[in-house]
Order: sequence, then structure tokens, then C-alpha cells
Amino acid sequence: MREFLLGLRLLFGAGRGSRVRFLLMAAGGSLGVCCLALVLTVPQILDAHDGRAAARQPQSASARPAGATLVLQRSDPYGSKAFTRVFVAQGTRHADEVPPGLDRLPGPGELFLSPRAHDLLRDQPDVKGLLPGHEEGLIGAAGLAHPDELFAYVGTERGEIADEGRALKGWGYSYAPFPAVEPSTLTYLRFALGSLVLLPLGIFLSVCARLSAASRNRRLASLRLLGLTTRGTQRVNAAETVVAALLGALLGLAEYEVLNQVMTRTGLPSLRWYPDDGALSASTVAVCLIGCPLLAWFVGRISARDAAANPLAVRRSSAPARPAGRGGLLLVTGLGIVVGYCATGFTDHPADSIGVNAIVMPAGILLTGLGLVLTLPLISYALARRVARRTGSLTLNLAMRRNEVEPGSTMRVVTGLVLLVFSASLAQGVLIQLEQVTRPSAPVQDYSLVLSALTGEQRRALAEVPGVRGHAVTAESWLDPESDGDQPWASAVIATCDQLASFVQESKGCVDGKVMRLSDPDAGTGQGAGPGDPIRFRVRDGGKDTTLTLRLPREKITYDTHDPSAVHGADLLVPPSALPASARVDGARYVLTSGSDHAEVRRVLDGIAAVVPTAEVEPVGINIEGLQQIAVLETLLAVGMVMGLVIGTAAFVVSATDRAMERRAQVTAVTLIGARARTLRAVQCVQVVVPLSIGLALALLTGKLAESAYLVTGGGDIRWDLAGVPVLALAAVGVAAVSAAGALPLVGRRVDPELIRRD
Amino acid sequence: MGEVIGTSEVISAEGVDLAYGAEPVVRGARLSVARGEVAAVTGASGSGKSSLLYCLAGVLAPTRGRVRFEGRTLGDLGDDEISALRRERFGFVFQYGELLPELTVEENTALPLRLAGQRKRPALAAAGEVLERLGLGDLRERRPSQVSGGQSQRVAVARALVHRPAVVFADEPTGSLDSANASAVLKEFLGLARSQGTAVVLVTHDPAVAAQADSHYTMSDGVLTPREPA
Repeated sequence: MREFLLGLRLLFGAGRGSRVRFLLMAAGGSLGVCCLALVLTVPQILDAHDGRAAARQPQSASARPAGATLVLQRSDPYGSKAFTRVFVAQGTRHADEVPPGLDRLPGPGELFLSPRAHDLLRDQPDVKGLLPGHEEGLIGAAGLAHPDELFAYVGTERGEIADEGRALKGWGYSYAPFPAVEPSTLTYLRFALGSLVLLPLGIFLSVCARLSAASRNRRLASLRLLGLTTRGTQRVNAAETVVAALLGALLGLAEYEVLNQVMTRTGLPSLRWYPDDGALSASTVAVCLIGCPLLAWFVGRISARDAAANPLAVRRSSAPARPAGRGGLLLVTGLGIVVGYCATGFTDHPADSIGVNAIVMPAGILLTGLGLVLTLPLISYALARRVARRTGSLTLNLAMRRNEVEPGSTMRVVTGLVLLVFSASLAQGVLIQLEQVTRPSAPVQDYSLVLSALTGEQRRALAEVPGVRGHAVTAESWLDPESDGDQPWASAVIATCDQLASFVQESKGCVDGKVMRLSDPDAGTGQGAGPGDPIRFRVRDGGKDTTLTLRLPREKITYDTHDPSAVHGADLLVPPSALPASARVDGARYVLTSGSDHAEVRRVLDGIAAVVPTAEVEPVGINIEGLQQIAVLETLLAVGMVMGLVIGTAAFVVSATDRAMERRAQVTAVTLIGARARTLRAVQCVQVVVPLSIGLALALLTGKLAESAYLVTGGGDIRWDLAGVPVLALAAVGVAAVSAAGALPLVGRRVDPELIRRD
Repeated sequence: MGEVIGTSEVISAEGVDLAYGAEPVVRGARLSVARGEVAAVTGASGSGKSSLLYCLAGVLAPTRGRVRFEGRTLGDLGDDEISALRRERFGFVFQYGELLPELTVEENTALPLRLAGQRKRPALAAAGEVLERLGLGDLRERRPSQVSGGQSQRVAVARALVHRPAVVFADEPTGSLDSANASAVLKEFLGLARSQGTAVVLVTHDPAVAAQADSHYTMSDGVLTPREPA
């Protein structure tokens, strides 16, 4: 305690410079704590979303007793969001059970809308098709996952949902049907945010805790020489850092509270929340108020280790040691593995992610990242040494000599930014992989509806929806459950040649009016169905069930479908004229096709809803929940990236400022002997920019290689992602520019001889 | 530009006053230093001698009076011209040397020549020559942290004289050294300066150091008084 108080006495008695440094430490720490609080609160925000989504989930049963209230939930894509509609037909049972956010259930023709759906209905009249009825009111916050959700309760007549509606038993489940982020993805998200934010944050807090390390070390060495114990010396140093961290933590939490209020009003793309969702929890407050001072305590003690252990060397400012080269081995090993996996992407048999690859590939990426961080000081040192010796430029000579003697201190900060870029490349790879499995890349979008739910008039109207390029019917053949022998099986497309052509990339040999075999060289052909085999379909015609048998003909149409496609893998083309006009094949689906442009898909979905508001539409290949999750992930990773960049850049600027402050005596001396301010500014810039640029360029290169190794083993179509390079490169250049600009004001024109050390 | 007072006078102060805010630090200082002359200013700590030194060097602007260098009044010169003077015609020795820790001894010594625009190779050659004369030839490749305090101060002297300035301003040049080292460094410093014809304005609180000078001034409460030779 005595040493702790001595540390405080030294802090507040050491003059203006010391107090300014203390405030800088506290302010820097507060920025870090604010980001930490945001990262810690993200899972809480997502949990709140899921909790409310679970609480409004209808509990229903397929058995429908008389007087049951019926519910039917539909979730359709609206852009990359889901538009959820709950159709309610009130009965006499459970009619007073209301979901959170409503006072009563909607009656027939009544609508209760989320604020976002209300705005949409006002701005986009086409959406009216999705929302038959008149608006009665808004859904309260308790009934919405988040403020931006598209959600509606639609009151309807029992007959409207008689086929598919289920009997309502109550509202609320203990889990959300579709969590905002899947638990497995949440683990990945935590890891990514940890890499993107917490790592730079830890480095930043360490930097803040070690400001003016050289002059403080000299002072601590003096105390040690005067008889203070090793532990006491470390405690004296830790006192200042702990108090600064505590003040920073308090300020940071206050900054977060303000940020939470601002963010809940402005929101982020795909992620919005209510102020209470983002309120500071006790655990977050505890982590910030205890964790940060604890980190500062350890950093403070560790940073005083040299002064306590070897005070004479510190007083004499002994030369720093050359960085160790062990990290180089890790980097070479990691890069070897990563490049090896990338190389398989050029062969016919790219590596997969199973077996030993599941361990070796991630190990290669980890080794690359770790090796990169450990090797950077050595690379910076070696390059600086070589350039300083050979260059004829005074500016470059001075800058490189500085980097030569301070590779570790500069690189500690660079490391945060380098890891950030490396992690961002990798995160981008994961996003690409996720997107490949949730968003098709075909130029067309197909839609599938249950045929039996549609009247002939509705089918005709659907075919006329603006944007729809073609329509057809698909059906599976019928297998007799009482037959013992093998039964040939096939899937059929009931369409004309023109209709078939609108669904596929290419078709050859089609003759109108003839049943023909379909042959897709890239797909299988059912269970052994061959030419001449009988294929049977169950057909309902005029209330009578019959069996239609067709023989798989020899004449074939060779076709090539898009991926995915509603007609993928079909074996048989049946012209509509081959079936009675009023006949419907059992289990058949009505399929439509349009362009895959987002706006066009949206227009077609709105058009379909206008014709059949309660029908379930399956956009083939689109996983809307997956897309929503990706949007949230993208937002969170982008926020993480921005926070990481802010923290990393702040750490770099603070560190550079601190070093410049510590070097004021030397800089003043050089100015006195005639150095121009512009020369010193150029030196400062070059000193900052060169190691940073080298680090960022290496991180970009190795990060992209790691990303490609991940994509190659993931088995997707995209293996080489160059789309993200400009953004990352721009971010890297931006960081270097901000750091350089931040370093410029550190050299002033005025010469203050008081800064020259004198006794 | 201005009138030339005398052919051998390098720098002079004429009725120089300096104040920090309302507090006067230097009052009516008069001083003249000729080519090759060593002038010492002694006084207690806080008497204003360092402030006078930086007035003479053009770093601090007098509140009254004028400083003339080779006939030119420093107050009439712009910032760039004064910077150029400091680069090419002035030299400085500080109490703690203030060598750049990242540069080698040789590069530190060559710094004024490099700042004046000289190319690396001839600058390093000239630095090597001065270092040899001061007996530091073997230390060229070392860093300041790898040499002793006395050697470090010798390097600072070499840096101050390498570009053959007209005048060197030395602020307690031996203040951080023990008496034996201080005496040796001062002897080499003044010997080299005199051999080059460089004037030296020396601020010290050590009478033994002042005794080596050609002229001696004392400073007390901002008032500079010439001291008659004993």
C-alpha cells in the first residue's frame, strides 16, 4: 500500500507533463473500454432478439377441435430479410390468448403491423398483396425481435386458412425458431470479434498503460537504486497505470451508455436493437471495472520489471537487443502449408476439409498468423538496418535508424493492425463460404408453390405476374406401397418445349406434344428408370383418383439446368396436352421462374403474394434465415473491423505521440543544430509508415492466402476472392495515412531550449 | 545588411534584455566575442546565463537590445535564415550531449554536415577525421549507449565542430562529467576550436572551467558583468 501511495504521489506531483500523460492514458483506456463493452454486449443483444422471437411463437396443434382459433405463419424473403406474417382466424377457444406486443387478436380483415412493416406498406403499395386488410394498430416492442423487423398479424376468415391453419394453444416457446445467429456461428463470431477487436484492444490498453515507458523506467530505476524492493518498484509503477485504467473504465462505460442511445436511434445495417437490449449488464460492468485495472496492474508490474531488475542499465539507457528469429520458422511452416492447400485449388482434385485436412489446414493458418506477428519485428529490424546503411537520404537514414533500435516497441502496435487485416481476410473467406451455401449464384430464380392450393384462375394470374418468365408443373411418380417388386421412379416436368426452355440453360431435341425422356448429363436418372419402363402418376380428376401410366420413351431431350433449379434432375417431359385439362397430379408443384436480380425477385414475390396471400412460396435455393444471419454477421464483423481499425490506429498514434514526447530533448537538440522542421516531419512519417506498410502488406498477402486455403478446402465455387482486396488495401492505406498524419503535428516549428535536459 | 563592428568580432550582445512574461531574466547584457576567442559566462543556477546563451544563438528573441553575428542583427533575420545560421555557422554542445541514440557515433558527428546538404560519404569522412583528432576513431560504429559519458561528450564536441562553425555555444558542456573527464574533454574541445578559429561562448557554473577561457563574464540576477583577469 505504501508503494501504491508513493506511485500516486509521484503521479500527481510530477508536473503538468505527467498529468497530461495520465489523462491521455485514461482517455485512451476509455475508448478501449467502450469498444470492449460493445463487444461484450453483442451476445446480450442477440439473446434479447431471440428471447422476444421465442415468446411470440404460436403454440399450435394439427388436431383442430371445433371452435379452435386457427393460426398460419408464413415467412417470406423481402430482399435479404424475412417478412413474417401470422394469419389468425379467431374461434371460440383460446381467442383471448394474445402474443406479446398486442392487446387483442386481429379480427377478420384487421392488421397489426410492426413499425417497419407500417412504413413499408405506406411507401410500397405493392406490398398490399401480402397484407390483405386494414391496419388497426402497431405491434409493441415486446412482440418484435428488433425495431427493424418486418412482422404482421393478419386477421382472416377461418375458410381462408382452413387447409393449412393449425389450432392455437397459446404463445411462446423457450427457444427461437430461427436464432439471430446460429449457436455454432456465434462461436465463430466471438472468435472473429476477439481477433478483430479484443486483440488490438489488449495491445491498445497495454500501450496506454506503458506511456512514457523510458522516462518512467529511469525514475523507477532511481527509486530502486535508492533502496526500494523489486516488488515495491513494480507496485509504484502499477499504481499509476491502475488508477488511469480505472478512470478510463468509468469514462468508457459512460461513453458506451451514450453510444448505446445513439446506436439504438440510428442502428446498423441488419442489426438494430432497443436501448434496454444494449444496457450494460452487471457482468460487463464487472469485466470493465475489474478486468481493465487488473490488466493495467499486470502490465504496470511487467513494464517495471527491467527497471527493478537492472536499474543501472536502465539509467544508462542500454542498447535494446536484436529481435529473435524464432518466429520466422513458424511463418515459413505456416505459409508452406497454406500455399500447399492453395496450390491444390489449381488441380482437378482440390483438397477437402475432412480427415487430416481438418487439422492441418487450420494449423497452417494459425502458424501463419502467429509467425507473422513474431517475425515482423525481425523483418522491420533487418530492413531498417540494411536501408539505413545503404541509403544516401538523410531522412530515410534517420527514420530507419530509429526503427532499427526500436523494432519491438513499434511493432507491438503494428501487430494489432496486422492481425486485424489478417483476421479480416479470413473472416471474409468464412462469409463467402456461408454466402455460397445460402445465396445461389444462378442468373435465374425459381419459385415453387403447392399446386393443389391453387385454382386455375390463380395459376393463370401467377403466370402473368410482372417479371415471371415461365411457368410449369413438376411432379414425382407414384410408388405403389403394396407392390413388392422394384418400381421405376422418375420426376416429371409438365410443360411445353417453350416453357421448359425458360427454366433451363439449354435444351436440345424437344418436340411439342410428345412425351419425351429428359437427360441431364450432370444429374442422375432416378432409380433405374430406363426407356420403355412404365412410370405411374396419381391423378385427381373431378374428385376421382386415377393412375396415369406413361412409358419412358427413347426419344430424349438433352438439357442443362441452372444450379439450383426447380426442374433439376427431371427425367420426363410431359406436354400439358397429355393430361386431361382438369386433372391434377398428386403432390405436384407449380413452378415459376424469373431473373435473379434482387429487385426483380422482390417484385415477383410481391406479385405472387397479391394473387395468393396465404400460399407458401419456396424461392428455390434461397435460405432466407441464412441470408439474414449473414447480414447480421457481416454487420457485426464490419463493426468489429471498424472498431479494430479505430483502436489500432489510436494505439499507433498514441504510441507514436508518446515516443515523440519522450524524444523531445533529442529532437530539440537536432533542431538547434539546424534540422529543418520538414526534415524532422518527414523522418517521423517515414518512421511510422514504413514498418506499418510492410506489416499491412504482408498481412494482406498472407491473409488472402489463408482465405484461399480455407475456400479451396470448403469446396465452393469461389476459391480466389479478389473482390475484398481493394477494401482491405484501402483500409490499410487509410490506417497508414492517418498514422502518418497523426505523426506530423508532433514536430513543431518553435524551438524550446527548456526541453534540453539540464541539471 | 548591418554595419561591421570589427573585423575579428564574431558575435556580440548590445543591451540585451530578456523576460519570461513579466519576469526579467537578462538585463542589459553587453558582450563581444572575437574569432577564436573563448568567452565563459559563470553564475549561480537560475541567474539567466543559459537564457543569454540561447539569445545569442537566436533561439530566444530579446525583448530589448540586439544580438549581432558577423555584423548582422539576428532580430532582422527570418526564421529560415536563423535556422540556416544554426545549421552552417553555429555549433552547439549540451550538458548531456543529446546524441541521437539510434545513430552511430560517426553518423551523429556527421549530422550537421548532412543537415547542411552534404552527401553521405564526404560527410562521414569529415566526421571520421574529427573523431580521429579527438581520439575516438575506434568508436565510429558504436551507438551512444555503447560508449562512456566522457566519450559521449567528446562525440558531442566533434559534432559541434565538424562543420567548422564560426561560433560554438556550449551549455554546461562538462556538467555531467567527473572532474578528470571534464578537464580532458574541455581541453580537447577548446584546443580544437582554437585551432579552427572558432569562437566559443561557454556557460558554466564551474570556476575551473571558466578559468580556461580567454574572457570571463559573471551573471547575477540577470546582470552580466565582465570579470577582470586575475
